[in-house]
Amino acid sequence: MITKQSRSIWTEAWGAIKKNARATIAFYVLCFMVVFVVIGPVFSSFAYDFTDWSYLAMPPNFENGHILGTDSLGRDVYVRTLYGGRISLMVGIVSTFVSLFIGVSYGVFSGYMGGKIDGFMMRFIDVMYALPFMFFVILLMVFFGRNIFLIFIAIGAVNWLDMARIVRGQTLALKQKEFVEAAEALGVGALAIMRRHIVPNLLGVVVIYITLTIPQVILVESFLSFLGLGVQEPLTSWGMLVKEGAEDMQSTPWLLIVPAIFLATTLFCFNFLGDGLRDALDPRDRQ
Amino acid sequence: MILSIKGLSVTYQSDDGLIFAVDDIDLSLQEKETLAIVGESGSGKTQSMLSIIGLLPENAQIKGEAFFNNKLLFNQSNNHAEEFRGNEIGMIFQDPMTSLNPYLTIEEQLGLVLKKHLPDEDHGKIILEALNNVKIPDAASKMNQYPHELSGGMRQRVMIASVLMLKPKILIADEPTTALDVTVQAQILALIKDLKDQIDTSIIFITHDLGVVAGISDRVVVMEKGKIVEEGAPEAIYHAPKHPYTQKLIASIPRVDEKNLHHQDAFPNKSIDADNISMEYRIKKGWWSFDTLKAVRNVSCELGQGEILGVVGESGCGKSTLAKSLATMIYPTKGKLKIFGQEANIGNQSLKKITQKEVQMIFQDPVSSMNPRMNIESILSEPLWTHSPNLDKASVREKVISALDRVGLDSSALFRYPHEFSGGQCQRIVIARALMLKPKVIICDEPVSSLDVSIRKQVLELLLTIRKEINASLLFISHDLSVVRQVCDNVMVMYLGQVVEQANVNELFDSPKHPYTKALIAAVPIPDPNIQKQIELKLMEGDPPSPINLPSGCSFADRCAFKNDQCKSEQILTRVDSSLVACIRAREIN
Repeated sequence: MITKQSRSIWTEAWGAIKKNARATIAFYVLCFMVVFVVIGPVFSSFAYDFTDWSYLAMPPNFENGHILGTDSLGRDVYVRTLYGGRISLMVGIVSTFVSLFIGVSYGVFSGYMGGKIDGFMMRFIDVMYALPFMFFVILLMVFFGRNIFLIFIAIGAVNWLDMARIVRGQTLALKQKEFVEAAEALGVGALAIMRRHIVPNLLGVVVIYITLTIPQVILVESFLSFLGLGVQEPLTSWGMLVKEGAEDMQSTPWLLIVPAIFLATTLFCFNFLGDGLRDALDPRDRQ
Repeated sequence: MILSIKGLSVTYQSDDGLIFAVDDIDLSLQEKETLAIVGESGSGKTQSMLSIIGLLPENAQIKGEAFFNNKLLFNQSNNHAEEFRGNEIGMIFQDPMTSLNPYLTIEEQLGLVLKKHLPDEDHGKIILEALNNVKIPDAASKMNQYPHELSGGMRQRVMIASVLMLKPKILIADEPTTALDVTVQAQILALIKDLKDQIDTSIIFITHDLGVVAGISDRVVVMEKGKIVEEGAPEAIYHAPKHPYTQKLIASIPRVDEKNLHHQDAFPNKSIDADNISMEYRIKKGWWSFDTLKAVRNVSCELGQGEILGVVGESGCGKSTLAKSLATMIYPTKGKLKIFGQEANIGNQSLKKITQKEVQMIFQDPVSSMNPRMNIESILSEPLWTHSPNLDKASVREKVISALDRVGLDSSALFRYPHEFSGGQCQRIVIARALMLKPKVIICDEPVSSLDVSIRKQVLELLLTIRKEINASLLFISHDLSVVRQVCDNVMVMYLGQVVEQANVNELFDSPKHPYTKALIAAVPIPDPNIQKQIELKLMEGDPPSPINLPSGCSFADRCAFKNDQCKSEQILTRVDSSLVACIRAREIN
């Protein structure tokens, strides 16, 4: 007889990802990307807001140290892209976790309570969906000024709606499971059931959703920055850099190409990883 | 010889090494023969048959060769199995609902098959004929219905028709009656028995239940862990099994025709006393109108301290609803329910606190009644966390270990997860969880139905020992009458929410009084070919009516062989000998 090894969901998921070449590569590229945007600037002697008056709008050049060129204000593209990456990744991850926290709590509560409470909470979500997102963000920006934390809040506050809906659906299914019924028969309290029995079993869906939300959020931030509603100069993000690069793409194409490559690679990798995880953790495929 | 398989192995590469689903088997099938392949889960019975119709998953590796009518089905290098599927070899599966497409009517459904295999013929005619052959009443109108409009038995008939209309040489039936109620199972078995004589098709009947195939098979093959361990005529297999595994299998089957020798009669202290309780639900019909669904109707029962009360009935008869009310998970809408002397109603929350501790439940599927993300220690600790939150960690663990010990598992189980255990071990863990708080009542909702036959006996014996040890009462819900006979002290038979007969176990099984009980017991297959082949089944026709808006009078009257005009309007509870029977003609017909 073959005995099954003791495995946690993570080792199982990792095992499944390893079988999927695309997802494995995506995972390593993402790890590299995170490390790179954190320590990469060390290898350059320029600061992200330093203006090098002697080299304005220089194409990539190894001799003067601006290996990926400079922008029209003489700032180093390599360093700025990495700093932009920090912001973009941070926005992606922080906003996703904000939406995760709100969405999971809201969704689990609504789904588990059911009945009128569920109906009311879901109608509230419908109302929120009806608010135009852009209008909401512009309103925030106008009232509170441009601020990086506002972006986190704005994106997180909109994204949790999806999360809550997905989690509620899963909760409704889990609620029917016999182990939840067993806990109810035992007199375990509602909060303990949610915490002990529902949330841990949502992990699979949530993990998939995280990897698919992060790129979405990065994209939204880029879009906001592209419209001029994003981060404040001299700070930057990939979206801002792409926007600025696009303005002069005929004369200084490297200003567009470099951040665009970083942005696209990251988005691709998150999506590949998400797809891989979905295949790995989808309960329908597992027995 | 219509089918011959030589040296067939089916293997899978898994993370834990190479798995032999089928391990070097030889098998042959004669024309017009009915071959039964018997084995427990994981014995390779289904895998070996899937290989000959070319439906194994892609990652399966096949070794060996198979011939159909001396034509090659597959060997090491070629696989032609697909060319024979459908027109020469047909297969039906366990659950007829999942085998039928819910969006297609029966005619469209079967038409698809014909479109592929017989594109030029009159489909309507063939389908009608096929449906008539499997004895579907009013077949012409059934053709335009959707699968959900048919009952489980009818759906399985449709599946059989869909295979047989192409007149294949071999019909493979994979547990075709396992998902069905026992009376419907008897109907399907009778149908297969009839078809056997009428058509030129050989039948391979895959099952885990030796009783089912006793009456219909010409030859029986017993499989264990991918190997064939014994093969022979049914008489030889059932009466003189040679291989130890077959012997064990035969010995472990509870029989409905054997007396229960260890039952008790008197239970002076009452744990639960239900007096005429009903449970009604309102189902929304339109915007303002409701239908009333009567899940449980006027049930009176008593559960004594230490008693095992069996509740028997087909699916939808209200067994589980009754169980939930006894655990105060729901409350009766009418009648009086007393638990430990207190009346159960929504206002009595202190009783609910008591029942959460004193009434424990064991569910049908042990794997799904444990949280897959919790380890065994946490699963077993949860009752203690909930009811004695002040207990320190060390004493919780001590109690968990002693509970594991009682159900025959050791402390190495503590940090493992439910999926690492077999079904039988899982059910032991669930029983251990139910015992953590030393309950007075344990409600067992089909506790062994999802377990393999050889494990059932051990789990049942465990339940019986525990009952003795802590003198708990057991409410034993099951659709499997043979198990009930061997375990319970008293039995009630339910039909559409009503108790139709209530008696002590041997009285009920030896001389059933209510026509429904009679039919139910007669429908249970007995694992003995001599008996089973002779029995002229008195089949109960039809299916139970919907529990919504029931007609007055006896609800069983429509299916009853003894009905008269009075039955439609009246129903009374009579005592015949020591049984309580809900039938106005009870005295006349017995």
